[in-house]
Amino acid sequence: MPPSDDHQVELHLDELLARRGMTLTDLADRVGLTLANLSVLKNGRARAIRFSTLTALCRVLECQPGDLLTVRRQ
Amino acid sequence: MKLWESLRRPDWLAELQAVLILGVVLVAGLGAFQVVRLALGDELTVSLPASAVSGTVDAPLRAGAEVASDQDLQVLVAEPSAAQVVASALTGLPSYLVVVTLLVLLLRLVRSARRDDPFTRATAGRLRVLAVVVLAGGYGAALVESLAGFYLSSQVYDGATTTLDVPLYWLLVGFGLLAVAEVVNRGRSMRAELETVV
Repeated sequence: MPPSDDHQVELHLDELLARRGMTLTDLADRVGLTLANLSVLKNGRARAIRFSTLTALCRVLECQPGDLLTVRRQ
Repeated sequence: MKLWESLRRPDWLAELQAVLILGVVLVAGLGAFQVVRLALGDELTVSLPASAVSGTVDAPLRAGAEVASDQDLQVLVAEPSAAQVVASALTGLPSYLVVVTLLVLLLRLVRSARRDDPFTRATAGRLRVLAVVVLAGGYGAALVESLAGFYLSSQVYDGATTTLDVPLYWLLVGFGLLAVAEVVNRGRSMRAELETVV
């Protein structure tokens, strides 16, 4: 059975940005995403993330996917 | 890229738009010509099956030769009445109207697709409307033309007759348009989903 569109994935982007002293605009420039797309991700409106985007985010934020994303338990 | 390609990038919707405009002008023109010809003429032609006039037509033929009874003969009616002229027009005009309507709706759809994003609910809706016009209009026109033919034939001989042509091409075009509408709708929803992929 395919997964439903609702998800419980949480993005810890704000915490990682604060830890690195970076703004969302800086991150967008360094990752190569538009600010609009990054805002979609930050505000929980994204339904999926490309591996290439995840790789770039982890590279710039110097973290692992598990630091950036967690699945909220119901 | 070759020079001629760089000078003119193919935009097939533009070509299609031009063909549709030409089609509207030609079909509308042909239909108008038919109406004017009927209105100004002092005789009209009625198609009858040869079996309706068998016996009288065979007379000049040599032994062993006869008119094929399953073929249509063209019968001329001199000084037709207004009702006969209208009926004669109705044996062909409805199809012209359906085709012109179809071409105009398609032209509007192509213009909209060239100007804006084609993968929208509106485009899918317009394609469905086109399909309804084709299916209902096409077969409705066939029915009207058949009834008009029946009335006309009753005017020229005792046993009225008509044929109800059920052209398959209306069905193919109608369902083809419905299929394209569904493709556009799925493209729209796939694109909407892709917009939330970062």
